[in-house]
Amino acid sequence: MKRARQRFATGLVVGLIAGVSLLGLAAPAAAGSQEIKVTLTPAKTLSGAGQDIKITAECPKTGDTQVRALATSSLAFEPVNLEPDAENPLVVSGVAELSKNLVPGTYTVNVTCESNHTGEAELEILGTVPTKAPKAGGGGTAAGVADNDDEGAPTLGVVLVAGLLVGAAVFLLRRRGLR
Amino acid sequence: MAKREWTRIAAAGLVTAAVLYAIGSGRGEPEPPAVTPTAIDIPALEIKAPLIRLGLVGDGEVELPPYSKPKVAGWFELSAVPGDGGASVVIGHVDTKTAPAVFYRLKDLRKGAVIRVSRSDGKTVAYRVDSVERVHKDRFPAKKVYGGEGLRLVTCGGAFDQAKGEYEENLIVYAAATAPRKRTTL
Repeated sequence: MKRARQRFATGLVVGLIAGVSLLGLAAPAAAGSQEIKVTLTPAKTLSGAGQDIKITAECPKTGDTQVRALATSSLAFEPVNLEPDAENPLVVSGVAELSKNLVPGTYTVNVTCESNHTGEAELEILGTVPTKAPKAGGGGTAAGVADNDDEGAPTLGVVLVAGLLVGAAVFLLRRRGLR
Repeated sequence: MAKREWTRIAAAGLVTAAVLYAIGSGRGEPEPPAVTPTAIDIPALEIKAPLIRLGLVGDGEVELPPYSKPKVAGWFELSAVPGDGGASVVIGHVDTKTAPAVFYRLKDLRKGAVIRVSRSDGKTVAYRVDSVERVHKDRFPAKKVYGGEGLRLVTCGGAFDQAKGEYEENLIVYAAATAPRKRTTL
């Protein structure tokens, strides 16, 4: 009886270890698993706008050692070195110049610290920068636009007066004719 | 018989681990709804306007707010959400064919003036005007307007070209986000 229980316990443990090891191998493929936090500012932008992206990474420090990192994105920009940030002592940062003519889409930015810790973030290129100037005005208040009526079309007042004159003329002529 | 027992027990362990993993990884965070700016407030000009979303129409041209709603301005939906970093672009008409529109007085905005943008998530982002620029349409600074950091308000100005039915210039206000600090009386 005791042996059966022992075997049961051992079996359970073996099974769990086997399961967890398998899962451990699978872990890197799991979404969102990363060792350090990477932030992009902005994380979304337009292609062709000449936008620079600030990349910050929370690489772990080891005492006084200066930690640096490398940020890469196979298509979005050339590799960028991340150095200790002037404003925030807990992060390393750098600025990436986006490649020209980036196709809209999502690009993964990978960061590797000198300590070999890694992290990633996603950069979204939402579209291409609009090139045409917006036509944001109808001209109704522009200087020199005194008459807002269509050119050539008589105003209501003019029509009424003309009508009255014609009517009066007809009336007077008829009176003359009848005599 | 012993072997079978072992196999079963090991399998049970494996299944337990797999189930635990599935539960753990399945519990992902739900995607929050996309945040959009909903209104703009420019106290110095007494402008309070709702913001609609503007897309792209055809060939590199931004959609414009409808003339039928002259008091409405629009946020270019491919530009940054105000408050999230990057360049946020808001476009409004200076006038319609007959009357002033939402950004009629934009040319009176001065450096230092406050602009507030409300967002659909309840946050309000405050900006201060850095500069106001008048530029001919043919020299519209697309990179400066759609790139960089901060809020850009765009309307038209200058002389009106009757033949073309459009203004010759754009008026652009550049504003930088102010960090939330204690309130300053203006």
